[in-house]
Amino acid sequence: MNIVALHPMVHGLLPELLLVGGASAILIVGVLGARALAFPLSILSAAGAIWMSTRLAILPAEATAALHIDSLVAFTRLCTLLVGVLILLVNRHVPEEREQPEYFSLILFSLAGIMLVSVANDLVLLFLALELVSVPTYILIGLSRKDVRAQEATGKYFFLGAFAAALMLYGFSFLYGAAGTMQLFPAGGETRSLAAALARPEILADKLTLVGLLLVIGGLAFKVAAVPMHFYVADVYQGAASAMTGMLGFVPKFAGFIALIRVFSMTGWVLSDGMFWLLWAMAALTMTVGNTLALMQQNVKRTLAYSSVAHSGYMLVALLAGPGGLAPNAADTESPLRNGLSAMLFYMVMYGVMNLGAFAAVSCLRKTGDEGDDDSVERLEDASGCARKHPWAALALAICLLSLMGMPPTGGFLGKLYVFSSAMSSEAGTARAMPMLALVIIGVLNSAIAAAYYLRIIAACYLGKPADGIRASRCRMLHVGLAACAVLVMALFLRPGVLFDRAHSAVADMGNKPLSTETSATAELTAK
Amino acid sequence: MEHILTWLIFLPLIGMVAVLIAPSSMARGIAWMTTFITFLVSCTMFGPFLPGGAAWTGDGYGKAMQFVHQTPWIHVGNFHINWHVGLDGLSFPLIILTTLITWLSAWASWNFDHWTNNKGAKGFFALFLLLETGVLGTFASLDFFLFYIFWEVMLLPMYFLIGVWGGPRKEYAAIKFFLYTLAGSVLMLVALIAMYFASGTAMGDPGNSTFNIIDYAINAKIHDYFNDTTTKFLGWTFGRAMFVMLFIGFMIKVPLFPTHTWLPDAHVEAPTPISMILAGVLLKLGAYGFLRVCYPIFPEAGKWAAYAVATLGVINIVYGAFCCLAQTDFKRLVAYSSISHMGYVVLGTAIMTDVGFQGAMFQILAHGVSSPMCFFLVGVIYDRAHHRDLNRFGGLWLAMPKYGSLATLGFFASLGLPALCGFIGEIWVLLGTFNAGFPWAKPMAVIAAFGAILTAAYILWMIQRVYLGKKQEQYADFPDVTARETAILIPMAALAIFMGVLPKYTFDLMNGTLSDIIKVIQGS
Repeated sequence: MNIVALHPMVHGLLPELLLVGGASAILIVGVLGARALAFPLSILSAAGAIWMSTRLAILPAEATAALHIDSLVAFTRLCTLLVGVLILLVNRHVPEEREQPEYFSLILFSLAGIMLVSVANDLVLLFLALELVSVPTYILIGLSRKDVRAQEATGKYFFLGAFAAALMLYGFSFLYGAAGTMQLFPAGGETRSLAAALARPEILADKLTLVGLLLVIGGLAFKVAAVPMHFYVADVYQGAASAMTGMLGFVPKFAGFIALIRVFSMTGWVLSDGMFWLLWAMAALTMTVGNTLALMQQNVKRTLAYSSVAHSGYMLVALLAGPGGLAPNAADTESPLRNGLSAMLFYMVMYGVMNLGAFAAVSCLRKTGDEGDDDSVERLEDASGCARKHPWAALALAICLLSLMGMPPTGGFLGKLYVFSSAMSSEAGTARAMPMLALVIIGVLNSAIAAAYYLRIIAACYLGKPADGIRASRCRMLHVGLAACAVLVMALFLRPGVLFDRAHSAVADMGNKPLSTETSATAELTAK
Repeated sequence: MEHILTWLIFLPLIGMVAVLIAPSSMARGIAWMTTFITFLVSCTMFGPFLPGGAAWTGDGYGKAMQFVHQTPWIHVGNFHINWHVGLDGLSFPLIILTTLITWLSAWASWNFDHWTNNKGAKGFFALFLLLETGVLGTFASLDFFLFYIFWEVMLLPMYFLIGVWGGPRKEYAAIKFFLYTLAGSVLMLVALIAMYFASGTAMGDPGNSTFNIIDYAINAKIHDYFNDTTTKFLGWTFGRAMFVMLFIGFMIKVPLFPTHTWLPDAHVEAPTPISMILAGVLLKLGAYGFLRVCYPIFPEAGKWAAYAVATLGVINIVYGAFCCLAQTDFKRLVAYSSISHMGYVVLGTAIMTDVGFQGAMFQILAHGVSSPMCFFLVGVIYDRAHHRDLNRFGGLWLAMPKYGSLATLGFFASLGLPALCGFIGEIWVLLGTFNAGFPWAKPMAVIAAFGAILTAAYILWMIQRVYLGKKQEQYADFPDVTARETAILIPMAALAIFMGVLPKYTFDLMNGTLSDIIKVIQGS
C-alpha cells in the first residue's frame, strides 16, 4: 500500500484510527437521524479495518517509542476484527431502533481498545487501552436490555471494574517506581524500558516490582474472570442480553490475555518460584471453581458464565507454559506444540467463537418471540425440547457446546489438545515438569466434569419435553452470525492450521529473543 | 479401488446425508440399504486375509497391513497427524462383525413404535449411520490421534440414540454412559500427548514424533524407550503410567469391574437395535484397544500388571455371573451376562500367550455374534409382551415354537455349549490361563472355570422360567417370529454354529497377526 508519508504514530495506528473514526461517524449519523445506517456502517468500518490491518502487517514495524508493533499486533487486530464482525451480526437485533448508533459504535470502540492493548508500549497507553475495552461494555450491558437485572449488572460490573482498574493502576505505579520508566519494550531509539530493567535479577526480585506485578495480575484477573476476581461473572452475564454476553466472553478476556502476555514478556518469562506457584494455584482454582460452580447452576446463562471462568483457567495453564524453548533440554523451539502462547491464542479465539455461538443460539431461542426486549431462554426448562421446533438453532447450540466441552470433531477439542500438550512439554526436564503435569491432569479431569453441565443443556434441548411457546428470532443477521460461528467451529477442526499457524507466528519469537542485552542494561545504569 | 477402506468408513456417512435429504418415510429403507452395501463391501475385502493371502507374508507385526491409506491431514509446524488406516488380522474380523451386526440392527429397527407416531426416523437413522462410521474408523485407524477422534465420534450418536429413543430412565442412562466413557477418554488423551512427545525424545529428534500406533510397537528405538523402566513420567515408570491410563480408558468400555455400572443401565434403557450394537460392537472396542494399543506397545507394563488385570477379568466372570442370577429383568440379565463373558476376553489378554490372545479374540467375535442375538431375542418378546419380567413369563416355547428353538440356540451359544461359538473362546482362554507361566495362573483358571458353571446355572434357570413350563394363557396367542425376525436371527445363529463347529476358519483370519503381536511382546 502506498500511503504517503504519514507520521509513524498515525501510520502504525491506521486500523485503530479507522475503527474509531467509523464509530464516531456512526454517532454523528445517528444524531443526523439516519439511524438505519448505523449497522451497515459499523460492518463497513470493521471490514475496512480488516483490510487495512492485513496490508499493514507487511510494513516495517517498530516505528515509534510509544507503539510496539510486532507480529502479535497483526494477529490481535485480525482476530479481534473477525470475531468483532460476528459480534456485530449477533447483536443486530438487540438495541432498540433509536439506540442503534450508540450501541454499534460502542462495540467498535471496545474492539479498537483490544487492538490498542496489543499495540501499547507504554504503561499509560496500556491502561487507557484496557479501559477503552471495558468502559463501552459497562454502557452496552445497560443498553442491551430494559430490565432491572441489566441495571444491576451494569452497576456491579462498573464498580468492580473500577476497583480492578484501580488495582492495576496502582500496580503500574509500583512498576514505574521500580524501573524508572513507563516504556514497556525498547523501541524507537529509546533504550530505557521496563523490559530492560526487569531483565536485571535484582530489579526483578525487588519487592516493589513484585508488589507491582501482583497488583497488575490481580487487575487483569478481573478482565479475564480468573479466580479470585471472578465473582461478578454470573450476575453480569445473566443480566446482560444474551447476545451482549457473547461479546463479554470474548472482548475483555482477549484484551486481558494480550496484556498478560505483554506483562510476562516484560519479565522475559522468568518466573520466580513464588510467582510460578501463584499462577499455578490461580489456574488450578480457576478451572476447578469455575466448573464446580457451573455444575451447580440451573440457568443456562449462569452455567455458561461460570464455564467462562473455567475456560480462563485452561488459558492460564497455557500462559504458565509460556513461550517454550526456555527449558534446558527443549531441543525444538520450533515445535508449535511446545509453545503455550500460541496454544493460548488459538484457544482464546476459538473460545470467542464458540462462546459467542452458544450465546447467539440462546439469544435466538426466545420465550415469546417478541423482538423488542431480550427474553431469550434462561432456565433449562425454557429450552426444553427446542430441537423439535427449531432444529437448526438447537444444532448450532449443540455444536458450540460440544466445542466448549472439547469433543472432536470441533475446534474446541484441538484448542484443549494444544493447551495441554504445550503445558506437558514446555517445562519438560525441569523441576517444574511435575507441577505442570499435575495441572494438565487437573485440567483434563475438569473437562470431564464440564461435560456434565454442557450435556445437561444439550439434553434439555434434545431429550426434554417441548416447552410451550418457544420461538426463534427472525433476525437474519443473527441467523447468519450463529451459522458462521457453528461452521467456523467445525471448520477449524478440519483446517486448524489457518488459525494456529498465525497464532504461532504471532508469538514464535517471544522468549527466544533476548529482550534486553547486557549493553542496554548498562546503558540504563549510566543514564541513571 | 485403491482407497476402498476409506470408502468403507465413509459409506455410512454418505448414507447419513441421504437419510437427511430424503423424506422421513424413506429413512429406514436408505439406512438398511447403506448398512447392507457396507456389509457387502467389507465382504469383498476377505481375499488377503484368507490362508496364503497377502496378509500372511509373516514379516512381523504391522508389516502386512492391507488396504493401507496414508495421507497427511493436519500438519502444523512439525506436528503431524495423518489419515492412516489399514487392516490386519486383528482388525479385519472386527470390521466384518461391525458391518454385519450394524446391518442386522438396522433391520431390527424396522418396526419401531416411534415411526408410526412420527418421532424422528430421520434423526435415528442418521445417528445410527454416524455411529457405524465412528466404529469402523476406530477399528481401522493406525494413527493414534485418528483413533482417538473416531473413539470420541462414537460417543455422541450413542448418547442421543439412548437418550431420545430409549426407555423410561433414558436421560439418566445416556448421561451416565457418556460421562463414564468421557472420563476414560480424557485419560487416554493425556497418554496420547505424552506418547507423542516421548516418541520424539526416543527418536532423538522431536521432529520425528509420531502418532503411528504400529511404529510405537515395532520401531526399536521407540519401543525400547517406552519399555525402559528408567524412563520416567511424573516420577512413575513411563510405560506403566501410560499403560494404566490407557487401560482405564479401555476398561470402561469393556466394561471391567468396577467401572461396569453404566452398562446395565444403558442396555436396559436402549432400544433393542442399539443394545445389539452396544453389546455386539462397542464393547469390543475396549478389548480391541487392549490388543492393539496397550499390550504391543507396553509389554513390560503388561507383565507388571498381569496379575491385577487377570484378577479383574476373573472378578468380571464370577461377579457378572452372580449378578445374572439375581436379575428379574430379562434384558438386565443379558447385560450382566455380557459383563461376565467379556471377563474371559480380559483374562485371555492378561496372560499374554498365543493361546490366551487367540482365545480372547475368538471370545470377542463369539460374543459379538451371540450377544446381539440374545438382545434381539429379548426384543422380540418385549415387542409382544411389553414387559421383561422373567418371573411372569413361562411356556413360551409352546406358544411360539420357532422362536423358542432359535432362542434356545442363541442362549446356548452364549452359555458356551460345545459345538457353539461361546465354547471355543472360553475353553481357549481357560487352557491358556492354565498353562501360562505365572504362579497364580492355575488357581485363576480354576476360579474362571467355576464361572462357567454359574453361567450354565443362570442361563438354564432363565430358559426354564421363560420358555419351558406350562403354556400360559396371556401368551398363548402371541404370533411366532415373523419372516423379518427370522431373517435377522438366522445369520447370527448360522455363525454361532459355524464358529463352534469349524473354529479353524475363524482362527485362520487372526492367528498370524496375533502371533506377530506375541513376538513383539516376547522380543522386548
